[in-house]
Amino acid sequence: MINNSLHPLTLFFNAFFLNNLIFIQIIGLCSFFKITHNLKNAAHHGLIVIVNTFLATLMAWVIFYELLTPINAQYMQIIVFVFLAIFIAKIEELLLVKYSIRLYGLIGKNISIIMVNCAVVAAVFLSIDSRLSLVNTIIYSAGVAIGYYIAIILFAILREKVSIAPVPDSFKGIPIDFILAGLISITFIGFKSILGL
Amino acid sequence: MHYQQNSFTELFKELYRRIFQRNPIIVLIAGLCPVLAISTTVSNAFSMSIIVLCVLLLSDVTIRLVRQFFKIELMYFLHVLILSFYVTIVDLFLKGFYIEISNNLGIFIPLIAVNCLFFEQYENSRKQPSFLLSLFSAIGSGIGFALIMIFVSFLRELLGSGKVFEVTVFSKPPAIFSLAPGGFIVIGFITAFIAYIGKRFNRDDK
Amino acid sequence: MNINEIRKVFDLASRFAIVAAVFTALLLVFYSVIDPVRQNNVKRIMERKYSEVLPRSLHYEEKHIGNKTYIAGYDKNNYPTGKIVLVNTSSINDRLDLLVSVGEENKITGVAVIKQNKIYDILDRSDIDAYFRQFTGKSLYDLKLQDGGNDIKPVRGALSLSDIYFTAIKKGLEDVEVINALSTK
Repeated sequence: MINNSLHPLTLFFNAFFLNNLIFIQIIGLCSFFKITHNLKNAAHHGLIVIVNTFLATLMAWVIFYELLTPINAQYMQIIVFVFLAIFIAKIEELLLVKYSIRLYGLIGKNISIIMVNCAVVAAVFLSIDSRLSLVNTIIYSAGVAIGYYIAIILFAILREKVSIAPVPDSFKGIPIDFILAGLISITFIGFKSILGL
Repeated sequence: MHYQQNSFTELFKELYRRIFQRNPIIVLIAGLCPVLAISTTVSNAFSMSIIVLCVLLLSDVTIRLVRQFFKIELMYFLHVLILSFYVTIVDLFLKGFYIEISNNLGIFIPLIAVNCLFFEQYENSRKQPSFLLSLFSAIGSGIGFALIMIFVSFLRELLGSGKVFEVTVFSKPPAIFSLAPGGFIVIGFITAFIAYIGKRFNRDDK
Repeated sequence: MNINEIRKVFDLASRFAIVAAVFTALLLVFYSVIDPVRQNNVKRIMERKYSEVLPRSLHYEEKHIGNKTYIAGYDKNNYPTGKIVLVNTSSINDRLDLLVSVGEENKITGVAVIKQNKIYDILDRSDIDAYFRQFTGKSLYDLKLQDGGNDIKPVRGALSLSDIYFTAIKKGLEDVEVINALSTK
């Protein structure tokens, strides 16, 4: 249970390992399966997710508690937060195009995939609905983003290895990747049961 | 808006195509997040499918109406606005009348607003000038989603807790199927099975 | 950026703002209609749960003291029957809300779950109810003696969940102690 009374390190560990966004809470799968074909793509995408999540949760906390709560409009949170995530991605893309075309060529494509990244929006909703304080939100979102990053790196590496392994014909490609994700998820769940919380 | 005469066969062919040949989950791997996470029980899957179908239909119709005032640059923002609007309405509605469903589905109701499935449907309907055809395509996506969800949740509930419709089948079920990994494994096997059937049919055609 | 570009951006933005304003207004109307219904439903469900944990009470009132909230039950002679505290550890994807109610001498009269993680729906309702029935009549002192004892048997097949329940019930009783201390000041 995530609430304000947890120690910051426990909160961080909980966010990135015990309640890993992909392998335990199964959020953020849309881009997970599309981006992990290639380790380099996955690494760039993961870094962008970390930056976006950090900015998005910070701004979302400020907007929720300073703008929406005083006017009792908390029901607007879905629209506002999703637009926030998109604006951050759009501004990043514009800045990259304007200041460094080379960097845009490297990682720019991954930003447009991120426009609807479930992980960024999920981190925002999870931290706002747990009513965390500002410092705890920062720690929690950092944990969630780093957990996502580790998950996609891990999966990209293993997926490459599986793609050259002998697999029955019907399982080649997507099905064996699902089963691979399931096996990794079993280990995460094992750790969660041992370490509690 | 111009009207096209669509015969019934065309409409139902589009429906069939959507459910079986371009199933949003199995073929296009769009909208996967709720399928794996919600399909722990059949009732959850059923509620989610109904919600997805309603939001698909309503938002498709609304976008068709509003789209004409916008040029292509803002199309994406318009899609997001309409989708989040309907998701908020669904969220408030569930919290008011069916709070049990809202608690069961948890965070996945707000996450419908960033689900790839809907954006894929909107892109499809943007290229499609006929209103009825895109409507049936939306219905087809919804029914395809519902079929996969209910099938996966049926397997997971049966294997994971031994209970289906309150009838106990196993006494010591492998609970792993009710947790996260079970979803991955069940979907993996279903996808493999569908690929196998596809290969059999292709081989028979030759 | 010449004047044409600025005009184009302004045109697009104003169209979008108009549509956004329309939808926001619709949402405001919808919210103001449905929120009273939601609060009514919540109150009804909670009253049913209150009567489960603190029986023989006619009506319940919410009281605030310090920064803590609790529900006081009164019977038909307006005599206080006990207190109910809500032990609240919920977030949107991870839920445990427990009601712990105490009667005279701060002994537990009932424990009930309001929201719990959907994972634990696998377990039998009757097992969980039997577990909670073991707590009736116990006070905070009895529970503190339990740390290490096994007088209270855990739910069959769910040791960690029983631990979580136990900690939550103890926290509820500690809250009652704080409330009692605050109200006698």
